[in-house]
Amino acid sequence: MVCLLAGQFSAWAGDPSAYYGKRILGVLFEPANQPLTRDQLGLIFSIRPGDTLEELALGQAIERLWATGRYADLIVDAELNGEGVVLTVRTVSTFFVGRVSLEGAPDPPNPAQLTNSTRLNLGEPFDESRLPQAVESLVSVLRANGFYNATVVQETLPRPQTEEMDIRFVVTPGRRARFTDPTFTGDVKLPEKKLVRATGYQKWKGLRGWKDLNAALLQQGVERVRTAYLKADYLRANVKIANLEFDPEKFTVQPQFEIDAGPRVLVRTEGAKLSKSSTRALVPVYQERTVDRELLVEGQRNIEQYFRGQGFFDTKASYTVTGPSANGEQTIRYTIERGPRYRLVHLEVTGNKYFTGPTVRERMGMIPARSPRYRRGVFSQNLMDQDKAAILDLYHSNGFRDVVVKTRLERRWQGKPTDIAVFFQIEEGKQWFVAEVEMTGVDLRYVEMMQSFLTSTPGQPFAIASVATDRDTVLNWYLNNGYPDATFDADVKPVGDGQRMALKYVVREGRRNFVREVLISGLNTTQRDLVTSRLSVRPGEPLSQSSIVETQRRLYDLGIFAKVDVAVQNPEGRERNRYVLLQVDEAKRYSLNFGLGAELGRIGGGSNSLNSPAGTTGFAPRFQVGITRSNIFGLAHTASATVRASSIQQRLLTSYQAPQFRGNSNVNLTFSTLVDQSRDVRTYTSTRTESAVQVGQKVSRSLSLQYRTTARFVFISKDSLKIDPDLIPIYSQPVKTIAASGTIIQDLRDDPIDSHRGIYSTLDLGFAPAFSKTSTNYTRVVARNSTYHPIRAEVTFARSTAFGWLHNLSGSPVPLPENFFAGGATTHRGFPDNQAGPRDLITGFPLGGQSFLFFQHELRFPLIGRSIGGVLFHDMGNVFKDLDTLSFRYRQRNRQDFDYTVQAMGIGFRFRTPVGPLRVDFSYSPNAPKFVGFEGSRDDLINGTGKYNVPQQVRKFQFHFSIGQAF
Amino acid sequence: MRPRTAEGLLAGILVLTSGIAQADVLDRVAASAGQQVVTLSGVRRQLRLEALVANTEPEYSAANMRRAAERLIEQALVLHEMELSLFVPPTMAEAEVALAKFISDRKQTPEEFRKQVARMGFSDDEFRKEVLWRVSVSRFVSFRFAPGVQVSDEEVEKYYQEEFTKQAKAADANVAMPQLEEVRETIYLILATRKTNQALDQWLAQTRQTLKVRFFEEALKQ
Repeated sequence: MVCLLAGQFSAWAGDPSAYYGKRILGVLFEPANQPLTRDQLGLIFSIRPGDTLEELALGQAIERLWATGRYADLIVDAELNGEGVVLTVRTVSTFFVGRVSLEGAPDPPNPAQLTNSTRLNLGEPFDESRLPQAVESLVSVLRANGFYNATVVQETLPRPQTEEMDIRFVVTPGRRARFTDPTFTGDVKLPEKKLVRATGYQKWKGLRGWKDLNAALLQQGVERVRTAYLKADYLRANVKIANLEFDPEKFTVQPQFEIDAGPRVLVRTEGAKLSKSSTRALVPVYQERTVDRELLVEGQRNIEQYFRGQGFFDTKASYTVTGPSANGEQTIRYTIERGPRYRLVHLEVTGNKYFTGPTVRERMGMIPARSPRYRRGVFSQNLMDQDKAAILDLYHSNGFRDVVVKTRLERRWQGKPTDIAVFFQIEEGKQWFVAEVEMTGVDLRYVEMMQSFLTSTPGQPFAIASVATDRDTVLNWYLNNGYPDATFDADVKPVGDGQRMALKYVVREGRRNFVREVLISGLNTTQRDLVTSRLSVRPGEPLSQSSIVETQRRLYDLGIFAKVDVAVQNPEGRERNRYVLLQVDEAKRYSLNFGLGAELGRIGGGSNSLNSPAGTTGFAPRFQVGITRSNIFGLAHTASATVRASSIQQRLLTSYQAPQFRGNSNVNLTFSTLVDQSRDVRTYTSTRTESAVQVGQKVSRSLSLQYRTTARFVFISKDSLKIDPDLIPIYSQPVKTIAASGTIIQDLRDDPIDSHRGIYSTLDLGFAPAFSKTSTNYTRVVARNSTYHPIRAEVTFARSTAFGWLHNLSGSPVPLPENFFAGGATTHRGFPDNQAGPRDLITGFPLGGQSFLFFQHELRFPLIGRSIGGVLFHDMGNVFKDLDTLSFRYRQRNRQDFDYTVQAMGIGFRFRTPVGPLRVDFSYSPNAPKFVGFEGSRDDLINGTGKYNVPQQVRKFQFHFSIGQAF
Repeated sequence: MRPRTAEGLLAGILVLTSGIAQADVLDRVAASAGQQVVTLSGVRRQLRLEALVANTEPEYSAANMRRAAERLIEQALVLHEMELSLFVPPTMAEAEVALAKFISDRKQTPEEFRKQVARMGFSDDEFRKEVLWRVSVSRFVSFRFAPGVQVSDEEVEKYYQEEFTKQAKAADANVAMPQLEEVRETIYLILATRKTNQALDQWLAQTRQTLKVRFFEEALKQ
């Protein structure tokens, strides 16, 4: 034994070759719990019992293990055992950054800013030596936001099972410093008071002291001071904060500005009128805040282009720089010679055989003169060059490698001095085709599928752009199927005598990665199943970028997470099976929303006076407040309560929504309750209580279904009814309805907010069974179909047909609230809101009806730029007493006849806003209904005093304000 | 016998026999740069190779080990850059030419040299691969860094005035100084090589920072 030991020591004394050449008896790994599976270890280490131990092979085995990225250290021990040797591989695993959390962090700065400053990225190898740097960065960000006494303590929480290291930073921010009087040194030139105000560091212009410091505000202040100098023509002003002087006793920070105002630089134009704002936009010295020759030349070019775009095609601009004068001013003077104003009257494209004229033209920016929008046409040299390039692109991408496009400008076209014509002559040349496509390096299983993706196929026109498309398509497929290192090379060669190209695509697939497991963290309230059922990334499947993005999207769609981070652990390591880390931050569960609005239209007229049955112009301000609680039971359910109040309506709406019901992303369930008191139908004031249960189902991208059960109780205030007193007892009965209904919605529009093409159809079928003597009993159908047709590039023809029918199954009259009321901004613009159809024969107030039919037609076109559009419209239709009384008649027979079709035509304007088009419509109705009404109060009516049979009419001219298109 | 049972049995045998023979560290990670690693055996091989080239015996002191590890890390960084650049390396035939010249410069026969290589623990094939590797590195450095190098006429003249003449006189005070035009080409090559090396050093310094080079001091003291 001693000899052996002695032999052992002597074998070790710097001579590991004593082990090499011996037979390996065993390979052990310590600890037994390894970050790689046994199979993976065996494959990667590749040294097995029975092999002969070799120095080079062992070194390479260590290199391969290291390359997985899973280890922080690797030591191989050898132990002689008879004629053989046993190897033990001792490992220290790498940890990877897991959850980085911040506690106690103030806002501003926002949490993302703080987390990002640590540079500890999810899934990357964790290096303890980076923690002090991370703490320093956090403290630095906090200081920049006024927290001069902030302290940060870090804590690491290892999770050895998944090799993750969670890092927790506990922030004690302390007090936030405030701004105090900034100082300005250097060549300031502007009054200090003005600069202080410009910084925006004061509250209420100094009346309420100074604001709290934060980094964004500090930087904004610098920008605002720069803008102040710019406005005063100090274009070269250099503004920076040299120092932030912190006073620990007052806890204030004094920004010390260092300013070099430089000379005043005046930019003047002569020879043509150019507004100050246009000058600032065209001459880049303003944006760049410096003056040099390059910028002045660029300004000159921009001015020329600007005027040429207006038809002054011969515009020439030049500049001179004078000064600095005695008072330090420098003047840049642009002299503009516009020349005559031309019109592009003729644009001709010839030589095109493969593509039709319209196909070529739709790619061109030049437009010959036409009213009303392009009275001078659209032309400039730039545009001509761009159009030439666009035509060349079109031909190149369809195999015409040798196409030539010649352009010619002809002045004094047809003898008119300011008319020009532009000619494009196309010499197509021969079309080249793909002769063959060879693809190598692709796994045999994928070859057929890859070939089906290719744009370049034998017989197709050859284009370099198509080769690029093929490259992108192939590489995208590999990236989304677990091959992050795939490469694609293309070789293109002419073959044969004709215009034919042989393509060779060489693909190197590289290694394939799979998902080992998805590690989810951050779930406090949310049920785990809710998240796992929405994962597109699954263990065992290839690691796909698109699946990762899809997972993120589906989780964000739940609306309960403020942040969803997905990353691959150990991104640089060369291992086959990877952990995918999914980290979520649950959003705040309560939210408040406030809204202010107003209605302006023929909604006025007073609640007691019966003088204006067709309504007068009125204004109704509106206020709304709502509270929402989300992620109830951790199931992404939402409960909300909203109160809306205006002078004509008060409403309380509560709802409970279960989106993606029972894990089905296409099904949602909603319970809602409504208590509403409204006077939007001017005939009466009602209090409505309604509860509903609705299941929504998305069948396909364009088709969805809704199934609904509603219970409704409506109480009409007897004293508010403005109808024939004999009818009051009938119509003042409370309305009790339980109804089941279903809606089919088909939406094939290109844009639901502002459609230009497509179809939108809805069909609503309802049935209200009788459940008591006084309950309503009817069937109801409401259908709508809208279509949108592009006529030219920016002109759309839109039409809509709406039909409704309520079939009363009970013997009693249909209660007023159950009738159809229509007319107004979205149904018939010839009427004020809810004023279409039958009217009370005494008071003239609308009673609604049991059927309606409306046709709406609009021609939508741009007016000014992209933001203002116009509409010519024609609406026709009406609400009818019953289906039997539906009529297309134009003339109203007498003042008691309301069953005819009212026509209205008009013009509207649309103003594009971020929330949709702001709409104002003016209409004229030649056959607006005439009727008789009553002058006096309700009491006069009931007592039989007041004036009867007063001739009344719905005004022929109507106006409507709204948001969104009419349909 | 299932693998786990075999392993357990082996572990048991090892426990029993541990009193008889003890484990020694055979090989381990000595230095790393990102996914590139240098093993202890690699460092030892580097020292043996250097000794072979210098015709001396290898010295495994801590300082030498560290130096060799640094050298290998630099080579690993260059290898990584070669892979990224899709550089086409020289062939074995070119390495053979370099090797033949090296042997003849040492005034040894191929047989003598082969014995010396074997004594240092390399096989013929292993040594040829080492030579090929070094030729590749040398060529890659020129491919990657030389194109960006420019030497001006002023720099050539300055070198001639300040360094060339001084060195020539230091070697032989009576030597006849060649004219600038005669040695311009040589000086240009010297300065170009110097600048290429500087560019390489700068790049290495930058890359070491990016990839966080780490040395396992315990390993290098063994």
